Amino acid sequence: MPFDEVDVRTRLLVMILVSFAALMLKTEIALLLCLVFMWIWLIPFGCFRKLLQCTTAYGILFGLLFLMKNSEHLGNLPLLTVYIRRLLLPVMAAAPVIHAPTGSLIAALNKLKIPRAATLSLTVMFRFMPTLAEEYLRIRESQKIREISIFRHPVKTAECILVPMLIRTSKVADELSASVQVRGMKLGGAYSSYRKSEFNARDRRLMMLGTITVLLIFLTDYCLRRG
Amino acid sequence: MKKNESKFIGIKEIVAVTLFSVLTFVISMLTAMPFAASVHLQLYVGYALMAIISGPIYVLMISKAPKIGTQVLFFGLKGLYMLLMGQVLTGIIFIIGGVLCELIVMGDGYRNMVKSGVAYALHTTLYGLGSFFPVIFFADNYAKQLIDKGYQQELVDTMLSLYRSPLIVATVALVLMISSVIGMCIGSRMIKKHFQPAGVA
Repeated sequence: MPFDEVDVRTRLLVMILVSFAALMLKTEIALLLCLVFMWIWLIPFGCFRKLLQCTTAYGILFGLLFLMKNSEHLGNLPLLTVYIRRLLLPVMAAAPVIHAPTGSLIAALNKLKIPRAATLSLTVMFRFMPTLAEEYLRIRESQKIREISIFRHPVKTAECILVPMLIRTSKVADELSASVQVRGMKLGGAYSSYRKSEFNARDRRLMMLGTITVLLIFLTDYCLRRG
Repeated sequence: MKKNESKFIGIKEIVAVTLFSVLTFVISMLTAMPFAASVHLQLYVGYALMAIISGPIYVLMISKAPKIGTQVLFFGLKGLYMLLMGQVLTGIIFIIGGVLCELIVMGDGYRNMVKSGVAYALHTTLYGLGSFFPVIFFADNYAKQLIDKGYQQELVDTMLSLYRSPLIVATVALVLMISSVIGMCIGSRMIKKHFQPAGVA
């Protein structure tokens, strides 16, 4: 895809800017502009599935808000739809960062002079989520064979999910730490990377465009509020 | 502890604490979501369940990584996630919370279940309440969106008042503390029953 070589630092900056905007923007049109910006940003990265999932969720939550308008008995639900819709934007912005190769992510974080411990934690955090989902599905499959149902045995189900999940997490932690130590992360000194982390003219242009776009969205939000 | 073993968190412990922190974070989302429609259920049931289910995870984590820095990393990672998601205030509170938890367990805290329990109760209470900081401190943003859609001002005020009531905050904190204690007790039993025989604790 066209943006495969975009530096991770550029992706991180856009993610942080959009996350900030999602929290601070007040008007619906500004949030919609942010969503459009995410479409323009994510398509060159090839994150079509995430784009469609998040946009569909955004649309459904937006529609629900109108349907719930005249009901006083739904408690907190309208507020929650607003809150979740705002959270979808940072989730979309995080997609290019999560899909970056691990080596590129580590190289970029090292270039930012982030402590090695924090780099390791961030990388493990991003990479462990899919593993967690896989482990959970395997545990659920084995439970089906044993006919353990959450509706009939809720407490036993919780124990039967939690114990294997924790034992597997513990084993993954041991294997991962051994792998990391074998790669010399425990040693001091300069750390080279197999992958190049180059911040070239295109990254500078993208950073500037991203920043200007978010600033324009804030300006639009401000103008709309002032009427 | 071996003679040359460091008191501070190392690579092995960093990986373990990161994985367990991610696990508790995912559990908090899964337990809170089913009760999202009702703020009372979410606060009193959803987060209480999170505290109970995360108890064994916390007990296992401190048995595998009883080093200085574990609490900071455990809570700090959630704070870092909040910072990356733009929730700066919540992120900073979580990071400060991690430092406070570390101060509580300083010394022999990782071998002392009472101190560890207090640190876990503080972590869970701050975490449960902290998820609502954006709604509390940026209430105007959320209110405007609802009012622009035609919601009545009184209804919006009622929704937001639940998050700003000192009585509700105090009772939620109490429920979370009690749930944390229950979670720690369950975790201690599970360690002896499952994890020690399996050789992972």
